[in-house]
Amino acid sequence: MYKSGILRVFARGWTGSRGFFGGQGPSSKSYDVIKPQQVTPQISPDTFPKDIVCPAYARTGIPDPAPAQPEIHTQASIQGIRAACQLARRVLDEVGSRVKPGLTTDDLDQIVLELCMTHRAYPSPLNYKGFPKCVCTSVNNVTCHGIPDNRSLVPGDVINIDITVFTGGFHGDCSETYTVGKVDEPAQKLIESTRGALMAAIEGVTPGQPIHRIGSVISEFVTHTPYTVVPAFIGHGIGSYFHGPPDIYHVPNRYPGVLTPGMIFTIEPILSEGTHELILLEDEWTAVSADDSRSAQFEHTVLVGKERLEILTE
Amino acid sequence: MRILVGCKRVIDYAVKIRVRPDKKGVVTEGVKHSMNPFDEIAVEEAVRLKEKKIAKEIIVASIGAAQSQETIRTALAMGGDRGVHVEVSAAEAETLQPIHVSKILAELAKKEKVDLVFLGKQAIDDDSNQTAQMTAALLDWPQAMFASKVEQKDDKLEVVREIDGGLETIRVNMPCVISADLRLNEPRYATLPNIMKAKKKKMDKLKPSDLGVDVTPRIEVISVEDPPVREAGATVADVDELVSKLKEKGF
Repeated sequence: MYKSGILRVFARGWTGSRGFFGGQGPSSKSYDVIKPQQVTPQISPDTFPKDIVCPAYARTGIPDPAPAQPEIHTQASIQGIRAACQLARRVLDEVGSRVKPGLTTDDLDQIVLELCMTHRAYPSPLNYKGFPKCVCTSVNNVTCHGIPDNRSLVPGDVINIDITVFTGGFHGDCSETYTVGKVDEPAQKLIESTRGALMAAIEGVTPGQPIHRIGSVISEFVTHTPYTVVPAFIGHGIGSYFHGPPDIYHVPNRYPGVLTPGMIFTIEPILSEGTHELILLEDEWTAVSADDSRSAQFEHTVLVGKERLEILTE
Repeated sequence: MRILVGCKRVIDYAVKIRVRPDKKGVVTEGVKHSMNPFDEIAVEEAVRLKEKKIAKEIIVASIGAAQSQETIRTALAMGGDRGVHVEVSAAEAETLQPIHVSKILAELAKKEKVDLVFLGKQAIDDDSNQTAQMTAALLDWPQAMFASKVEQKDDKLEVVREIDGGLETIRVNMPCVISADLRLNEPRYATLPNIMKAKKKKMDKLKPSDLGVDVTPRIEVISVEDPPVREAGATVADVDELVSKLKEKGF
């Protein structure tokens, strides 16, 4: 059993705002405002088939340090990451196809686990810095890093499923936002815009441009929508490590460096219907919107090629 | 170089301010607060100085009630190294004045042996624009206020200041006090990885008395009132009518 509580808001200031945002009253939303529920005990990798290679943190929770600079991957590395990404896509598509009302997010976690076991892969989120489950499931007002629990999905829910798998020594990471049953039109528009923002970024930058251009492209795209980007969550370099440099901001930023062929990283914008501010719950993972608004997220792992970004998680 | 950055928790700039029924202040209960925007700019500049390897350590200080800690954590998430929370009671926080804050900051600057005190030019709740200046005076350090650019030139700081006549460039010896103006920079977003790192950063807790500062108020607020409702204007047909109307009003 764990308890949740309003801990702190993390958001950005120029438009002002950081600081403790008052409590949440009764909801008047057309969708369920999620409050975290019971999480089942964390499974141990000792129960996995012996031929599954686990990352270092599987037992300690502490990841090995990532490189200090963005890695320019070798052909062998790219092959390995590509394979992990392909598997992540297959797992995501399969789990996504099974989303329906009545299933709990824990059921989805089970499906992810089973698929990983079948493919002899390790579910990367499990025990990464102590994360208790195999997948992040973020419903409605949960912005990111939602923990699978015993809440049943209901029609109208908007759920992001974020899959990362570790296979052959490499991680592959992708996510999509799915609808549960019939959802209202605002939700559909939010989802489409978020997907659009990700694709705008992938198609809108070229190798040689500054890394921080991704944030400008997404920000520009989103100004033409009624939504806001949630700045706190960033894309990340990926390879034999889950998270590493470069930091991919989805808002205008000054991150140094240029897009160099051989770099591999994720782009994962989160768009919110309301505020860009978050509250981090006491479980130290679940991030919820400070005003209960819904958000959507899409993520791809991309490789910087010679002329364009190539999606590895397609 | 070691920098002490001061930040203040204020009512968020976007909130519609309402005068309290007892007319002794404004409503703060349940109202959204955030870091003073000019302080964010000061924090950002300090972090940039550290990224340029000009500064080695950034200490973030805030004087206020318990919630000021969140303001400090935000600054730590932007890149500050260590926090100092000088805690006062909620009642004391209401009557805290720039003179008290500058005394506390001056003591902290001496205690932490910093080379630069970086503050926002003014807080958006009181618009005093006094703390940075008084802190410099108490320390007997040079001051560069309304900075829109800060560069290191040999062992001095060259600061471009925004003044009424335009821009003024000065060189100040260190240690010194700088106050940040609007165009100095655009503050960064705190990202989740940095927020998580900030939780582990050290936060010292002090009381004003630990620094030998008395925060007894020296100013009493008699009343706070809304500005008078603007009356409708009148149009005049020509200059003669304008002059006669002005004379009527006693101008």
